[in-house]
Amino acid sequence: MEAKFSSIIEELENIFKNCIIGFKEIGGGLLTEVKAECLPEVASYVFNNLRMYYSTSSGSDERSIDGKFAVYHVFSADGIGFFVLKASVPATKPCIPSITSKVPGANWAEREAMDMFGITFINHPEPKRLVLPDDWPKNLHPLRKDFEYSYRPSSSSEPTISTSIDIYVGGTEYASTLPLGPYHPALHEPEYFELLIKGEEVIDVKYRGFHVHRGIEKIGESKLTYNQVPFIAERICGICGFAHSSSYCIAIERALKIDVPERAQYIRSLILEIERIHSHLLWVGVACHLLGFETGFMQSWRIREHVMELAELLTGSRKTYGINIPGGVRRDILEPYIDRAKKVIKLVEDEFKVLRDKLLVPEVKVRLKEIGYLPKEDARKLAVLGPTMRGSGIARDVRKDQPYCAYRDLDFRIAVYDEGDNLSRTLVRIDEILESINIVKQILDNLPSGPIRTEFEPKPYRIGVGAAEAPRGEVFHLLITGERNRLYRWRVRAPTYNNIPALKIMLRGVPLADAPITIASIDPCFSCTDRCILIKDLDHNYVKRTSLLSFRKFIKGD
Amino acid sequence: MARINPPFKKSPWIFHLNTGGCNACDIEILDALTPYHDVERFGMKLVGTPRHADVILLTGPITRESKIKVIRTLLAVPRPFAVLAIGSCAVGGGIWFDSYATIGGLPNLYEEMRHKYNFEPPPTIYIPGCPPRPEAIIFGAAQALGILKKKVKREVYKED
Amino acid sequence: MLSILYVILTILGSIIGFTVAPLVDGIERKIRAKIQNRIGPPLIQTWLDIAKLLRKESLIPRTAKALFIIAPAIALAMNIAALPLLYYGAPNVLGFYGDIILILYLVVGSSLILSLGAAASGNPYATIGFSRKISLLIACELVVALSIATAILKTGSLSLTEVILRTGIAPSMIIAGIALLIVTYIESLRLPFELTEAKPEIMGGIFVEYSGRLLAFAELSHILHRFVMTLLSLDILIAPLLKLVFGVSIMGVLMSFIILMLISILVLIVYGAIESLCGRTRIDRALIFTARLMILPIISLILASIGV
Repeated sequence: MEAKFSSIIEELENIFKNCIIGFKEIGGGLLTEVKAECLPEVASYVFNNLRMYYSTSSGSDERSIDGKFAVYHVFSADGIGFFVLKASVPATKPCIPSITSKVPGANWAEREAMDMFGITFINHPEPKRLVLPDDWPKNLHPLRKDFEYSYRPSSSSEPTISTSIDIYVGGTEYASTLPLGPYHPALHEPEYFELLIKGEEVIDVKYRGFHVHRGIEKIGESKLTYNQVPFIAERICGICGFAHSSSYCIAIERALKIDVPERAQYIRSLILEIERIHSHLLWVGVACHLLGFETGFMQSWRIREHVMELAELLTGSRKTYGINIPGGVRRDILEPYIDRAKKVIKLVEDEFKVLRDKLLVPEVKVRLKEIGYLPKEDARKLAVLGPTMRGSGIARDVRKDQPYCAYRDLDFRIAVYDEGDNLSRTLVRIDEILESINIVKQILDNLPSGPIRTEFEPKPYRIGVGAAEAPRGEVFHLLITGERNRLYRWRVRAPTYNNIPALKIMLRGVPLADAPITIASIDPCFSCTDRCILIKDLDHNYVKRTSLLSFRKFIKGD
Repeated sequence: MARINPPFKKSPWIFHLNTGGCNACDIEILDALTPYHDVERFGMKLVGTPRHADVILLTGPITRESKIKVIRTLLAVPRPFAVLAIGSCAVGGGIWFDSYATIGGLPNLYEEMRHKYNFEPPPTIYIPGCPPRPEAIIFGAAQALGILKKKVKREVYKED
Repeated sequence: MLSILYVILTILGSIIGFTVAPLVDGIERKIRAKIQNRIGPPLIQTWLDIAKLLRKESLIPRTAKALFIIAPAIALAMNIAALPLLYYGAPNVLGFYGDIILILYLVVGSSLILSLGAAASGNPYATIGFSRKISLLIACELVVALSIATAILKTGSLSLTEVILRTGIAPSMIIAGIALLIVTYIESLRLPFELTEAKPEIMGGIFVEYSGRLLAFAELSHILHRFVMTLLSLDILIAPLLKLVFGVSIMGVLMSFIILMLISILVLIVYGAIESLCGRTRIDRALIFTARLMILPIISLILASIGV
């Protein structure tokens, strides 16, 4: 690994002689420890000059190891491995310079570390609370090691929902905020949007998320052992859960240098692709639903049902497959199932091609074209991922750039469109369905034989990074192994985490009618926009329960 | 267990309320609407606002952040209505039953609402599973509507 | 004797219209389900929905004004009042000189009052639904008014029955009827023009705050409005032809009554089928479409003024 990074190491050593403390090889990449005060310059150099793609950042409470808090910034050196910058500060004064002004994509991750560890980021543009609820007590940071995972503090204040509905700006013309949300279910990504609208045009958007913060990282670090974590990882997201458990397994296998049998690698790839097909079909259906095209929704879900059956056939479950485990998979694919799987996948391919031709008619294209524009440079700055990124003309895909599982041996192409609007993101997904069908066929034809699992010996304090291309983009897991067969630190980053900040650019100036489809175009989750809830008036104090007879009273004003 | 006979037996309008679930239950609910299972044959219709709802499909363990919004939504539903708690999380908190960020399932929420808002819990059907199959969801809905009888009896474990 | 039959037919037509309009909605839903490879709800589903809503509690937001509560009832009453004024194949004895103007008022007024009531709920989604509906209403009702003006200009009468009885086959009336029929589709808020409810965008729009009985009234008046509009456009388009073919004898009026009812139900069903093949459009596009439609009644008006 270090050999691949040699040119980068040399370059950095020359430029930042006084900043760099040392280099260390970790599972899946290279760890570079730098002095805290140099962090922004080094990060800026890596991001802007070496043109590495920003992935995520993570805090860590390492007081029990060396009495310090640490921050990890992860970049992806495509084709080589992950490049991790680490800086640590003494626990007595946890202040670290922020890199957000140099790497805009780091905004949320730094704020999250602020919430969860109480690390202060100097010069952060908006040092506000991000993850924790508004009524959570100050100075209580759940991911610190001295916080008990099941402790539920009482509210510091009465919980409120901070929205103001109508802001009249004189006369008849007014701008009003329109709540859109609030629930959205991936790990950190429930959505509650406040659209500031003028007439029918969106002029600004505010966001309050993290309704689905369930404390997964804390549970994974305190309650569960290595072999139990994949199951909770799979429950991070009900749609792309297998990508999460795979990327956890990849991270731990890289950290502990476990050789996974080839058959297990192929089975993982197979299930990952099946998951992608079902997720994208789901998205196509939901996009149709949002455009009011119910028949398209029903037909695409009808096709999807075959894929669900296929998943049940191969793994035993329609969803949340539960077959991943560090060192391999738990369930083998039997020979007779392969033929049936081939038949199903052929059927899905034929039916989907018919549907695609019916969907991409001019009326649908008109609703998608030139709406929700995301320029290429903004996409890179905010580090968006997955089809959102590829719809803006950036040809990246973890399956090609940081190959995992069996993707090194498989033949596929990356779907890229340059326009950056809703239409190009849709086309990316449609192409990816066909590409995934193609991959599934290849795997079913060339499934190697052999064992499906291998045993391993846990070792403490190894760092591993794992990434898998989920339907929505790159899922990233960073972990530090710990003692007693448990994780010391587990950081999960789902793709929507990076994609949501880009909505601010995409939504500006969009007609209100196109706002839901624009939000959906990053595929945050299908049902969030369906679950629009108006918060105002829902307080029981504001509602009169009444029968028809008392209407007269009401009119009189009693 | 007597068969319940709510006024919305023939036309239950459902409102889908995710309280911090992982999505798996939610897509299985949507799956029940689509051609393969098609719950519209029972007159079920997905509505966009709690004002129109007869049956609330509640998924997820109810996180701390979403709690107040869930409470307000439940208070905004015109009576009579029923609740289906779908998935292990809604039933008892699931894998996060004791996490700092959730309140651990619907029963805990009812307990709190009873005290704070004087809220009498509506008829509730619990559907476990992670996620429950669409068939299980339809079966639960049929029980809530009084189309089918319950097949299990409630039993309380007592230590001898 | 004949006039008693006329009265009976008119009342019978009104009652059938009232009961069948929700049933037709059920048929539409069934057809939509078939197109989507589903079984679909029972035919009487819409009646079941309304029956259920009548038995549920109505919630009224504190911010709502009195109009919010009375609007659905007024709208329903207006639509019911419009029913016996229409032409059911027999000369409408209940009609009077100027009833065509009253029908126009009732048709426009009912949808206006419904959206006003929604706006009185103080809900931002309802407000957006209201603003969309008003823009659409202005465009649509202009077409309706111009078409009816054609009929008045052509025959010189303000009574619907007289208009129908006096015209033979006139190109201007046919064009006006076609314009009415198309605008009926738009105004009955079907996809792609279902903009005021638009569940994924504004979660039910004008209906968002209504619940229980109020919602039942609003739904029913919405469905009746579809029927009234459809029958009105068929009255202009087909009724003169039926009168020419069958005359006003007992058998003649019975035949034209049955045919007129069947055609109006058929039109509603066809509209339902078209709807399932469409996606939602945007309000600006809908307005442009309706504005282009304006050319039809203008042509018919010109034709009528030169006596064709």
